Amino acid sequence: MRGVLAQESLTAEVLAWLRGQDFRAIDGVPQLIGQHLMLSAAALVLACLLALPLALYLAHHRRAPVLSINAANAFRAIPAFGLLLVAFQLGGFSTLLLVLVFALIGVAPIFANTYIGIQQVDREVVDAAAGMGLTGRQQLFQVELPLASPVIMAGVRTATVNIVATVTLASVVGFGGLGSPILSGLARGLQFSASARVLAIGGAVLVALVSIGAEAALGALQRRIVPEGLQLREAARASRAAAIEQMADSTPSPT
Amino acid sequence: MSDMTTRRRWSALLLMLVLALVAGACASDTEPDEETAADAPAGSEEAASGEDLGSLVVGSTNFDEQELVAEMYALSLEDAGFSVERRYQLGSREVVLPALTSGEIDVYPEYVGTALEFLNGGAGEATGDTAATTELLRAAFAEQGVDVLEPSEAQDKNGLVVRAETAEELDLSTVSDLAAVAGELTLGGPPECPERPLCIPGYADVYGVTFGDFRALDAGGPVTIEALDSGEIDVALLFTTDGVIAANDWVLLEDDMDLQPAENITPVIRAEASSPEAVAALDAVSAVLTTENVTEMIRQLRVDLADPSEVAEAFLTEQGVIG
Amino acid sequence: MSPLLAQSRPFPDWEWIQRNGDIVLEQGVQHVQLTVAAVAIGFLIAFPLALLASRRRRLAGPVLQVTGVLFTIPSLALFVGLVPLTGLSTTTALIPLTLYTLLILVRNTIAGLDSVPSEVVEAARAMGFREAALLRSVELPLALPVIIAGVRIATVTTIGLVTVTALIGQGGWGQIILSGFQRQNLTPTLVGFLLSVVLAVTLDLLLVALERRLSPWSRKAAR
Repeated sequence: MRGVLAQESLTAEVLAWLRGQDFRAIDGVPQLIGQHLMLSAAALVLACLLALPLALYLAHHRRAPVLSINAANAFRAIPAFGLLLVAFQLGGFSTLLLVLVFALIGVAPIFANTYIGIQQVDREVVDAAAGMGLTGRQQLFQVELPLASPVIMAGVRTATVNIVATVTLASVVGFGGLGSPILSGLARGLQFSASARVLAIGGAVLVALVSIGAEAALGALQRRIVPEGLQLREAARASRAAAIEQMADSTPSPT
Repeated sequence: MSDMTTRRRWSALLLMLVLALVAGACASDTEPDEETAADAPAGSEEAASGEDLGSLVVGSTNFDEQELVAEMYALSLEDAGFSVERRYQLGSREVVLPALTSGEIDVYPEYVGTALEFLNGGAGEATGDTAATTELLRAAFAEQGVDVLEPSEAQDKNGLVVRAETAEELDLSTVSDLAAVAGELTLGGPPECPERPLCIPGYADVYGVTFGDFRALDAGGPVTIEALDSGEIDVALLFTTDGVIAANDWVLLEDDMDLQPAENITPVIRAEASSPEAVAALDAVSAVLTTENVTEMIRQLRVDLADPSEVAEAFLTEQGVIG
Repeated sequence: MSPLLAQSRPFPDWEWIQRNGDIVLEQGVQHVQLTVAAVAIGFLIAFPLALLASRRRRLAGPVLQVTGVLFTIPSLALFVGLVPLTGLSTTTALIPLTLYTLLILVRNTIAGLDSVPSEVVEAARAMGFREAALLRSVELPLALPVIIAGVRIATVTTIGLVTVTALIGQGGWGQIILSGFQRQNLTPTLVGFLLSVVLAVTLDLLLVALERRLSPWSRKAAR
């Protein structure tokens, strides 16, 4: 609030904004990033909870292949902006609903990649595991899942990029995040005020950084959880991996 | 929910979509006929006056009242023989005003006081005197190639609104009452409020009211209303004509030190796009608008959820402006 | 539904539909126009770029990296950023929309061209095909399923993104969604939302049909 009347230089104000002070009545950057990350993380976790069990079940039992892949693709057809406004009109304004909407944005890539990842595991390997006496559950968790993990993680990363970008829309319904400096910048007139430009451009750059950062963090996680042998093999068979990726959902949908 | 009702809902939805498209298709089918039908009398008038009235783009900012009044302008202009393109809900004044000066739109409804303070950077020239404020606005807009037409009688100001409990608890009835407690309160309003001379800076300068926090929401729309209702914010910036205030028993704090100047609703038109016929059609709308009838129409929009086009058409027909 | 605005408007609101059928159609036309324009312009730019990148492998890396980074910027930011330059015009909506399709299309076109087995290309060369003929009658037809898969993703994605441009005064059905929300009338919001889903699915299926026609030999679609 005080920022509105303060007569400091813009640079000083922006620096203070980065450190966490309000800038022209907009929350400090760390707070905005915090809000954005909280919403994104909650949505991502929910998306995993919604997509993984079903995809694992269907893929393990080789059920409904065509339907599964197409259903996941059909999710792209749902505009996040429309879904959000419809959901809020139907269910009222609530954080839970907001997280659910953003989670749905991430469901498709996780689901599709999990399904495809499990499906493309060599049948012979699974048969060998069965021959060694592994139960169906053991086959899934000890053989199929580790082998599919690179493709599944690719899906999770795609979902992350999608969700982080989509969470900017939270500001349209007044829930903060990094969309709020962008929308405020627009409303305050980028032609008229330098601070409006700072807000809009700052917001855009921050979302991009958060998204890249989140993706990188998941990349690091992937290197930890994907079995080492598979990583090497993936590198060696780059072209095949690329083909699988092409088939799986690795194209982020901008929002 | 039983299966039956679910199924019925879905079939209703499906029917709704089909109808929407069919209605559209029908409308576009009949459009040529309508056009020729509409052109015929217009054509004869044109023959009489000997000129082609051409087309105009009517715009509006992002709240209901703007769309309502803009639709009245559009209907009246169409009635006069113009063809009109409607571009409503474009955004804040900061977005719409450049669209006017750059020629993307030709006319939109303004409010004399806020517009003046916007153009002069908050010099405090706008007063409660409509005529004087309008004259200053004309001078300020003239540099931008924009004509300010005769203001209507109808006024709509920004106002601070609190829930009844808040008003009672903190003993609030005027904006001055806020000065002592504002530091503990959160204000919610349009994102542009912190940089608007008559919004946060104005309340701070004139009243010494400095809120503890601000939430950037929307221009008196559902987001702000929801936030006030749920307690997310304590004070909301709404429009004084908004029927939602009375419908919820909320309290509009009296602007006891007259921060808010005269805010008569006035058409502003790009000088290049203006013509005597356009001015006459727009003036005809301004002539019949009063604060009372605008307030009633906003109530219909906000509380009865009527369509702006519906309300505008009914009103102008009743007033004999179109027909 | 908001408890604040007395819900005296029924749902579904047939009266609204009757009154606004022509607006729904008009906005639909704009929605389709924006989508088609973005994908078409995107394709015209993406194709030569992808061709270049698949011929000169060293370019592919940087091209795809730029792709990745641009995707992380939310469309809202790009739309808003363009407002001071191009106002509330169609151009402001079209530039980011095209940019996003560009990225999808470049990626898939490169992948499509790469998916052509090198043996086939060698064989065609040996049969005396020149570069242009090779591209036209061997590589393109074989790459087509993957390229069209890209066009499908680009189209479906763009339809969703168009709705967001309502926030800058464009947006086809997005405007109906937004105005329904602002007035808390569920009917317009839902009509705009469902129609854009239906449009996306329809165009997607049309593209599948197109692909089947153009490459009848590929038994299963790439995606």
